[in-house]
Amino acid sequence: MKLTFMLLTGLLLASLLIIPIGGLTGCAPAAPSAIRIGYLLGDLHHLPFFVAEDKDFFIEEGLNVEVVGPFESGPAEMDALAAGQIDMGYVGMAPAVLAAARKIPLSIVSGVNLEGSGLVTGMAIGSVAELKSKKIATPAPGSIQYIMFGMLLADNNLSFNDMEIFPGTVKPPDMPQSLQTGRIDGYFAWEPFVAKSVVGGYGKVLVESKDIWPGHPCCVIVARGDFVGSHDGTVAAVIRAHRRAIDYIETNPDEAKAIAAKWTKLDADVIDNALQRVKYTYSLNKDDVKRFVGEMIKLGETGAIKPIITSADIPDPDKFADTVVDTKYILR
Amino acid sequence: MVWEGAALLADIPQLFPAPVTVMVALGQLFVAPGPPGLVWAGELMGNTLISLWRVIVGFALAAATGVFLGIIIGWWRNARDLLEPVIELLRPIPPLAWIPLAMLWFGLGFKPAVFLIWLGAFFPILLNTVLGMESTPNKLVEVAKTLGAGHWQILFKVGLPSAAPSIMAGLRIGIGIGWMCLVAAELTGSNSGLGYMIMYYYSTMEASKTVAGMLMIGIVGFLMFIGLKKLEDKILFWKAA
Repeated sequence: MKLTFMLLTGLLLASLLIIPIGGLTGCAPAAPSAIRIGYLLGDLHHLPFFVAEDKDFFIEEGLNVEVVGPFESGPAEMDALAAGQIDMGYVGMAPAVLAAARKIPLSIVSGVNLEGSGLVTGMAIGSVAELKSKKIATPAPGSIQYIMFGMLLADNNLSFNDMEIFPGTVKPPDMPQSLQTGRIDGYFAWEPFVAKSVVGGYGKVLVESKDIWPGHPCCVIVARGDFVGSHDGTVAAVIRAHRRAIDYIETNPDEAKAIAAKWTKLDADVIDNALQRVKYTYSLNKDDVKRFVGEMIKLGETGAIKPIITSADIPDPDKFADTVVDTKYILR
Repeated sequence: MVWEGAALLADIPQLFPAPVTVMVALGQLFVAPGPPGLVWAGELMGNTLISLWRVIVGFALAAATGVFLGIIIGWWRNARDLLEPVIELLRPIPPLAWIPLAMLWFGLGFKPAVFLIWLGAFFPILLNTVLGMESTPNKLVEVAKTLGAGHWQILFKVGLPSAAPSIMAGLRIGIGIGWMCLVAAELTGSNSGLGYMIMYYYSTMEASKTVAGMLMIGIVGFLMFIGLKKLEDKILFWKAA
């Protein structure tokens, strides 16, 4: 009995000694960097993330990615970022800017896509002027689509007060069906929810977002403020995998569409239609952030929309963009 | 003080706004222009009035239908045998699960919200009415019969007064659930009301205004509870005596 006890103790002590030695001598493979990444529900703009996951680009970059989500909205994802539940996230530039304006420490470290949204209406509506007194749904107030719709209306001497707006209370996935059943007369949304109505034959793209702001930014990758500071190599590896995914989409469009179908459960014709309006890119431009902030402040000050961000929140958009946008990872 | 201290420790205003900032937000919402048609009332009171109107209409419908059906089911055995299975099938479905159907049937805005309030308030009112009617002491019914009262007289002079405390309890529970359903209903397919206001400020990441809206919901709910309790004491004066 005593001998067995001694043997077991000896084995235990030996194993405790051997494990660290194995680690020191490099016998065991280095553990991949664990990272939690969030993304949004059914958003085709996040295709590079789906591709990087599907083609193991993250793993090949030595990352152990825990996929968190999908989140129902950008603000919900930014709350998760603030609460430390995710380290990085694919999200709209607008909620990232809003979160930063509300003092949530974060960095925008890469672009994901440009353009890729649109104003969809029923077939009977022929111009923006005809939207007067109509029921129009938009994503959450402060989203890029909400602001761009405000810009479009201002260009046409209209404002949100001239129609019945449902900001954020008809979710983008419900918008096509709401249009089809006549509950709303139109909506401004991102892909694939624009394409769904077009392919379904009950809606048309009245105005593409690129016609309001050519090459406008849309989705980006954000990283938690403290994470960027302490995990420089991990963030760089994520961006490398992301860039590879964007290259893959460009060189293997059919395979990329198949991956999109797998992650979004959309029909191939909807994906085909939607991808015509989305430009994937990792590029990141501080001027885009500055312009977006400027447009949001201007629309609020002129009364076109209820003020969301004011000059008091962001007194110096230049400095704000410099603080929030970190281009070093895409330049590496 | 605990709240203020915790907010200070958390130091993330977006996640945990301090009470002082919530009070400031309440003030800002009070003076901000109200929703279309109620600009004069201010944002906070305008949206509260819209929510209250919805809850009054939904609750009135629930009270009328719930009490009426409750009397029938609680008083006539045949009606109970016929309707009880249907009610017991529908009752466990949470009102929030009806939101997609409510939007499909009634569109957006006022009507689906009223439907959801009706749905939330209807079952507690119905069940309490049924319970009250069923609990009418047989002795009282027999005495009334002996004194020559007809069927309708027994129903209105014996059954209803006997069930009144239970009906009032149902109404009180019903309005509370209706108020909760209203807020949930306004989060979807709406563009006015307190629920919408909360959703709006959640989206623009103004947590202090979101919490201010939640606080207002609590205050109104509490006042409704007190008001109904006072009304109950007045109507059921014999109970207090």
